[in-house]
Amino acid sequence: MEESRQAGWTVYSLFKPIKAAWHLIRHPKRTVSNVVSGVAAVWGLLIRLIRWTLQETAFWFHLFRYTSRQFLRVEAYLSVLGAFAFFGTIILQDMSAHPRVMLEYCYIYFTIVMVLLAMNLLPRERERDTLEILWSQPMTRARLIVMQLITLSVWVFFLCLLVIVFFRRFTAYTEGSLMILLFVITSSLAVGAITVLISTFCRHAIATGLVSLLVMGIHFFWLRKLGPIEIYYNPISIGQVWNQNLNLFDILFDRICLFVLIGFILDYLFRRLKQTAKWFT
Amino acid sequence: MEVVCSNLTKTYPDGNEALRGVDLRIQDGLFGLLGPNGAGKTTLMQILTLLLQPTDGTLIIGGYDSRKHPDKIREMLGYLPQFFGFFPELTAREFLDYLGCLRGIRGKTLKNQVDEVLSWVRLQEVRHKKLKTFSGGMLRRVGIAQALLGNPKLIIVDEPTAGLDPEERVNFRNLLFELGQDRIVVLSTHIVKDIEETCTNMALLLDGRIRFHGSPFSFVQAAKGETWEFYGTSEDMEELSKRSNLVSVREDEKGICFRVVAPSAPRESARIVTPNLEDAYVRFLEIQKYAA
Repeated sequence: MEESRQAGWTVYSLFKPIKAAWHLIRHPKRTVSNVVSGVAAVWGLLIRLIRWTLQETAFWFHLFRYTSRQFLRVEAYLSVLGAFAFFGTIILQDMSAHPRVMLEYCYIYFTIVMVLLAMNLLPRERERDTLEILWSQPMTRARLIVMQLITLSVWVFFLCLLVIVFFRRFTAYTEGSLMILLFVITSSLAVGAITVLISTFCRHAIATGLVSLLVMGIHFFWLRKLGPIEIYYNPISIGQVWNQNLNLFDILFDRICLFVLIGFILDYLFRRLKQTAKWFT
Repeated sequence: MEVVCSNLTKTYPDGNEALRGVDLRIQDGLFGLLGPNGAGKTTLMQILTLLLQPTDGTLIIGGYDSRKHPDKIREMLGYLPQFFGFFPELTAREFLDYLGCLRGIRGKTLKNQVDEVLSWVRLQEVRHKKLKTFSGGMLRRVGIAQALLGNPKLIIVDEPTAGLDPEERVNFRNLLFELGQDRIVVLSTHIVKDIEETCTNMALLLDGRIRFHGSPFSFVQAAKGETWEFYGTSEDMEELSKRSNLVSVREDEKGICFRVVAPSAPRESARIVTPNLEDAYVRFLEIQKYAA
């Protein structure tokens, strides 16, 4: 209640500067008083916006911290160790000289990590009987799941950043290292959403993991042309709008398409979760 | 504040009819929902907490329709489920902080409310201990503490005293009674004693239907003149234990004392005693069994 009242008040304050400006136009002779009241309104709005932003940031940070503590345990340490073992082997075999190969391995590795993390989201809550408590809160199921997915994606992004910084510092690996971060965070979100959707069918973490890896395997081996690495090197061109060499616009277009796909997956997932009486019985 | 259920029906996809036209009106105070296992209590609780959608019928809580304004209802709802899950790696304070966050309580308000509910359930001293080190009773108190966050007008507790030792059970009942002073507390249980000791109103759910709705006193009155006690031998016990109208057996200096509910005296030596809720409940189930 308090929250909605505050949001309403913030929206109302948005109109104050507009009202002051309108007043200034209508009564140009009373300039000084109008300017003072206009500045006061803008100042009030700024303070309110800053306070609201700080509160929201603290709120999301709070949720991020607790979600991380619940889900990033043994798997997180294994992922870090695995990353260094995996990429260390690649570098020892001198494959890092071929950036494309490096990018592809990077993509495959972080997809597997995301599946391993996301496969536990709903099944673990269900096994611990915390699902009923969480879903009876005023926060919607959709918001809760999106928040958990974002948390996991951000952690996978940090892991990728760690790997890239490490290998850029100690090896000759450079090409596409920054672009891969964009790929990893967006692809992680998509892989996470697919995995959570699969978990609503499979209901058990291990089964979810296996089915998700199978789906990702199909994608890697038979639909590689639709993968982000292929699109990075051979973007689906929709016109030379941006810089010709970077093809940044094409890459962004590819990511926007991915977000639309994530939207469809999440929409179907939330529809399913609304009807899942099975989860409690 | 009022909860109104009209013709609530729930049929699961496998064809199991858990609720068959439940009509209920619940007002402020402690309300007990009694029924044997499988009667549909948990399904009704999950519909009241909006975790499940009824197949048919309407649910109105505090003037809001559950289908049209679920978020408004969730804001005034606190829920302690039958199987209370927790995050073992969090401390009691962190757990409440997390759930308070999900309830949309922010900043200092959240901190103050967490402290308030912790002291209310007398867990202030162990607030920094991890939940995995808590006993069953302490975990139940954490459960009720999280249900109290945001000062809800409706609290729903499903089988809250199951698995608690007698002392914890009494403490918990007292806590629920205190809570019921200024809000609706719906207590679902198959432990008759819990309802007898605390509730001002009750309903009896059987096979997905409400069979009785009123005060525990009026329910007990129906068993007046039909509750008997008599002394017998161990042979009698063999015979009586096969019958479902036997309420209890105890042994004292005079021998084995049997307590049964029956329309007429089961033995010549039997004497009428004052019935309690458990007697009335057994009598009711017996009547339903014969009616079926």
